[in-house]
Amino acid sequence: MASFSTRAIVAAGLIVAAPLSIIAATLFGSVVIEADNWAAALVGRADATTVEIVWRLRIPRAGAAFVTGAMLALAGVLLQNLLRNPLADPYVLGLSGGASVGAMLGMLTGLSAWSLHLAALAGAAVIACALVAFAARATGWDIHRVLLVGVGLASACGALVSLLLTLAPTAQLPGLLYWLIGDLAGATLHWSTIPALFAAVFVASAIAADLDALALGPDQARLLGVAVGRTQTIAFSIAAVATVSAVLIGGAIGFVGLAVPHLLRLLGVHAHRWLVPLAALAGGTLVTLADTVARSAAAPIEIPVGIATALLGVPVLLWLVARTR
Amino acid sequence: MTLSTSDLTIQVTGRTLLERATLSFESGQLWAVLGRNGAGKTLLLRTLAGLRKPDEGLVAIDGTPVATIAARARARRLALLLQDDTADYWGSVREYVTLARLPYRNGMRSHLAYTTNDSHTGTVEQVLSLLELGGLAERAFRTLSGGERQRARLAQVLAQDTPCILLDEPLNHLDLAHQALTLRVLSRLARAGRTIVCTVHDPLRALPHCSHALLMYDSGHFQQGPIAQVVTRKSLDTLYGCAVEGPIPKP
Repeated sequence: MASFSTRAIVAAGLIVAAPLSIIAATLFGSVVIEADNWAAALVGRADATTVEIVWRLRIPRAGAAFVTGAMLALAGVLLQNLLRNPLADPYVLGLSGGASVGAMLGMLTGLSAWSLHLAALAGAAVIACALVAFAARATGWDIHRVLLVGVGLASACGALVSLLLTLAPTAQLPGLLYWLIGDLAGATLHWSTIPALFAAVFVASAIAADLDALALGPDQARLLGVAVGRTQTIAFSIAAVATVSAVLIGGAIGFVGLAVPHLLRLLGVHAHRWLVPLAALAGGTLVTLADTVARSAAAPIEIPVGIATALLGVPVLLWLVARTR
Repeated sequence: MTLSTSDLTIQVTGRTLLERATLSFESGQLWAVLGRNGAGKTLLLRTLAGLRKPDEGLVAIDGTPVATIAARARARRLALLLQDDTADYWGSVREYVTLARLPYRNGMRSHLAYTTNDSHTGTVEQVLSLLELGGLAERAFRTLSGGERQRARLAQVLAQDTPCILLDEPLNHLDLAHQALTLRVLSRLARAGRTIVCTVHDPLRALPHCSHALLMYDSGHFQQGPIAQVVTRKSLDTLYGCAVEGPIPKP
């Protein structure tokens, strides 16, 4: 069992690591900025190029990376709980697939960049409505149906994506592929996503005790006085919004939503009042660090961040699994 | 507290398992629900607990229909040990048992920190000690053996501290010593005024500790009442469809 102090150490470590990851993201990249120059740039006293790099490029991108990672990890925590399936991740139910199909259809029909986001949201909304129609019951969600319908819809979206890629003009392929691989190149932070992230973490924390009970199964949760249907609907809504927000910012970045909740559980963090906020911090930190490595390791070439998250995260996950065997 | 049914009918896939049963489980009584596999014992407990709607009839707690009682209020009056255990819980045994205090949380702070309330921790420690789980309290729930897990699950139900306790096969996976301990604890709780209804597969072992029995026969027929009146060699032979060996226990 993880003692209170173990969880406190993990929490303290993440509270320190999160801002450090953002600082590192603004220091490193294809150009490494010296510490004094960086400090001057922060207050606008460095040369124009450095100020531009720090304020216009790296801070928005670090923010985008952090918010994306936090949203994905939060969605992972909620979906693994809702579906009672350790392999659940933000992409399992086809929401990101729906967003990709929506965005790709928008691109092929010549929509503006702003409208593309709406098209992606519409795609995800279609999937969410289908899940509600098939799996919501008066007494709560039928999790087997959610999983079955979600996996089916995700496969259908995958097929549609392949079809669109086959039919699309060659010149449009790079833009289309953006939606399919996790990539923060060119991603910028929509500042509205920061309060959205805080709101998502706050609401999920507010139902933390209900989520603890739900981990025992819907019947057991019901017997413990939890309004199961309401809790499932709130958790699913947060997970859906978080997934779609993350996909809109950074595409489908893998590994984070699946593995960050497990990493924390292996470190002894399982009660949702701890797991929810710490997963957001850990996911944000992991993606921010991974993006910094992805930008710096083979500069000027940028490795897609999804590759870096997996390469950084998998060894840590394997080490923890081996340690707790 | 009285848990009662009126004209309760339970059906599954066209089969009637219980027909128009009017039952009354009173405070201080320890009921054994007996029947063959598939007789509907589990469905009865799930219906009594409000997890399943009656096909006909009504279940009530002190006269109030179970279906109309809010979830949390119901969880303060009635607990059920489910037969299936599919939980893959990551915390310790103590944390697992403490989840039983969820129905008593009140307000946001309590909602987030229900594990640190003194009265809750006191109840949890009492139950852990009652079921001799003190030594396992810090163990991770997922590392427990089947029997240990069953004791932890039983502890969670008792820590819910409800006047009515329903138990579906509470002796499953338990060794002889812990079967005896569990039956003693249940007997003591009933004498202290709780209403306890449990399904059992080994009547010869459980009946000496019980005050009443409900025998669920085929086709929805049933027999209920004090053990001395309803449990006879003939009724058990008919119930199980075989000759029951050994002396018929009396309370």
